[in-house]
Amino acid sequence: MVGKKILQENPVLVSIAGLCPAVAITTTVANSLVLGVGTIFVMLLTILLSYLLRNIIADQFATGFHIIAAAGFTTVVQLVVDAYFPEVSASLGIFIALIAVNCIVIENVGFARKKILSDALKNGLGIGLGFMLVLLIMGAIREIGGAGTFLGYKILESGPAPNSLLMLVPGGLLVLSALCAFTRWFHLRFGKARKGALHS
Amino acid sequence: MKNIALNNKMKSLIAMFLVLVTMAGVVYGLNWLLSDQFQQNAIEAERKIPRMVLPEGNYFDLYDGNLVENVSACYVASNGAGIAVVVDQKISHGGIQIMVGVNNEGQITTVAILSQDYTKGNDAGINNSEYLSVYIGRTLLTASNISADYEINPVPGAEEASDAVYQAVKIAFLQQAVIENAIEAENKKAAEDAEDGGN
Repeated sequence: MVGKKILQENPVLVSIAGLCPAVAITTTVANSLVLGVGTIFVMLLTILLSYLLRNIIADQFATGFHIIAAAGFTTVVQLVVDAYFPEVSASLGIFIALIAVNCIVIENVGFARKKILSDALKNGLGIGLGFMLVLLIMGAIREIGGAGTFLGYKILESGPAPNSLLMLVPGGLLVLSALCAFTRWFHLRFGKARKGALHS
Repeated sequence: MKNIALNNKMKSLIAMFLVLVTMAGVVYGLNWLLSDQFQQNAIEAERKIPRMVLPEGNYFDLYDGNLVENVSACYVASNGAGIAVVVDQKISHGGIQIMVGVNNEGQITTVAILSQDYTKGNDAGINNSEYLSVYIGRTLLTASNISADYEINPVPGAEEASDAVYQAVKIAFLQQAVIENAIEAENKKAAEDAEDGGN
């Protein structure tokens, strides 16, 4: 289930959700890692709290409650990142606080009320890991191609000069489009082959 | 039936309020736990500010010896790359805070305007890289003011502010001399003490 959520139902590449942080903050791998881990942390704890209080909170208050819970956990993430990774925090800016209203988090936390806890957590973990995977791939492509570094260490001593376009928003959109196109091609090519193999 | 619906609503609202209060408590506690780390980060950040005028310096320590008049702070690079001097100047339109980097060979590395009390008028024109870069590499300014210096021209319309920057650079040289003299005196005293100890 987790693997399916990461690859076949990837929130960014298949559902086209969470595009703002994916384009805006993936200029470095460190940014992607911190935002990815933060999103998973907020999502899992919000799912857990939402599940535990599902019989107390009425349906009409559920969305508001999810936002309150997610905002609280997001503040915890913000404080920890501010304290131990101040440079990453400055680079991520408002996007840490926006985890609380990330559509990926809000949409998937809602399922927690209608599912078994382990299923809800697996769903959240798969979606979160899928989101983080895309952020990491984009961060790696943009940091290596745009600055010639990986996690801040210089890796391109010789060869083509880094292209600063990759560090800009248009560069982020180009990388995201290429990844979306690759995913679609991959699903059409190998999804069909697998279906064919099952039918024969 | 109506009462049950109302009770459910009240129950939800009370639960949400309790969650909110608990979250606020957790955040407050975490903030208190991390306060030392935040303080340390602020000190680290302050120690990195002088890098804008002396990029060769890694970390900077605040110089606690004698400061020349108008110098509000002086940072010494811990790797011996040089010093960064913050000079507060006053002109008729208000104050200007200037940071000057001097490397260990006595050359100006960068001059930066940290703040200006005024935002309009010609004096704001000094904050341009073309004017500020004329000081880079200089080891001495001999004229009493900018209009008497034949090598450096003031920014047109910002003569008073240009001279404030010129004087700030001269003050930075003076501050460097003060620090060098202090180090020399300290070394001399240490050598004398060692000699006395030997006798």
